[in-house]
Amino acid sequence: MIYFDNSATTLIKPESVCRAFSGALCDYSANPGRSGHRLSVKTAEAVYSAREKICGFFGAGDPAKTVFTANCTQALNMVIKGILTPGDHCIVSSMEHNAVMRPLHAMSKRGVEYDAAPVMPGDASATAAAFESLIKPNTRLIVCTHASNVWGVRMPIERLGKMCRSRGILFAVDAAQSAGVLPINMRDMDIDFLCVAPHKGLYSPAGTGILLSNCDVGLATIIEGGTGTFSSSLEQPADMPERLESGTINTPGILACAAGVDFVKEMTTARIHSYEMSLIQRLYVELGNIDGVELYTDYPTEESSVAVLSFNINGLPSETAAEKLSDAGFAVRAGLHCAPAAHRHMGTEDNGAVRVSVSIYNSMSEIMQLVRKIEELSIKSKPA
Amino acid sequence: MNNPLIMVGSVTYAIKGRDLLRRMGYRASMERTPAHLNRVGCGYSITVDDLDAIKASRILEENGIKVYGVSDGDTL
Repeated sequence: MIYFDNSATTLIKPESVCRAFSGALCDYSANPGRSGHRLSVKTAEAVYSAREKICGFFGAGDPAKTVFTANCTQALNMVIKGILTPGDHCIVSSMEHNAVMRPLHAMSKRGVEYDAAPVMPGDASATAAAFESLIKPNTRLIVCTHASNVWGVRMPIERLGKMCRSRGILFAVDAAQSAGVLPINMRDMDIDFLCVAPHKGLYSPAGTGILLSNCDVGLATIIEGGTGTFSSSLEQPADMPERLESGTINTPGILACAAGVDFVKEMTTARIHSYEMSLIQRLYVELGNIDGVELYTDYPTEESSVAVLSFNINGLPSETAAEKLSDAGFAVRAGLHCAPAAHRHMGTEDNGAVRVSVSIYNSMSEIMQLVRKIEELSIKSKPA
Repeated sequence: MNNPLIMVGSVTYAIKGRDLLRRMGYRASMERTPAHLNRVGCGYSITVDDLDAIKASRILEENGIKVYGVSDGDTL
């Protein structure tokens, strides 16, 4: 099967990541930060080293504020629920994933308000202005995806960061689709909280997530429990990262994340992004030449997009199209991609869309095989 | 005589503090805080061979590492 569902998770992992993961199962299986014995300390040292590496890669200031979570959704929940209190206002983009929208909806039942700023693809100034127009005196937080998981559209994160800094608003970025693909420096981009899905662009195992903080604002906890610290007190410790890491952490996954960072650093995000975009750009051009294929976005440039492209074929239900492609050996994702807001934005909420998302392990030949299949499907499904 | 223990909040801060002191050229190490010194339960400590523990604590605090106490080396 040819895999084009890399926005959900990358399928093929680099050998170095696999080695780090399996090596950790053998060599770093003791529980870090819980005991004083040599094996526990050895694991704690390896985990701290991973924190340092990841913190440095994303330009955050303090490895102790690099928190390992189960996934990016958990990291986003920790930020949204850890910052907002009744009476606060939050602004998001009109293309957010449910990982942002559902926690916000839940918080709205507890007296938190939120608004969605309409994204103007390709017009960073207009998008930033849309956010700015929604700021209220009680706006505490802006949460924005770095790139849409449906349309690939990049958001003007640098501008939003500057705006938040100048207005005293906290800024959180959902980097699920961008970490490992686009350069991210939290300091330079004025990002207070960065939520990462390392199992995607950092080629790490599923079950890993990262929350990086680059500010002194403490987060209220959504999970409490054993941290290996201050055990005689029932109060959750204030010190990071343990405050947000109750329970045993996923050491093999974490050490594999660090290997994923090494892999991306060696490849460079510039090369990765450029290569992936060359595949998606070719796909866009080829699909544009097929009668009946409906594209919703402008030609994706490296500046405007990440390597995700969604479309429909002759009004076929997107799930049907994806099923036919699956039968032909192509793994794509149809439906709403857990982001109904992004579909609403483009008017595809009813049918969803077929999404193709690539990784560095895809090739141009695979893209052309997909194009031929879509062409065939389009001819067969053409209304009489 | 044993080195005094500089008690910090977690293994993360023990490693961070030890590495900070090592980068400054001091011979620092970390260990689990012995139970009889640990008033809050489950903690880690830093020891430094070649720097006064009070001075080391100050360096740690200046770099954002909270120190929860310094033991008298003789009591270990």
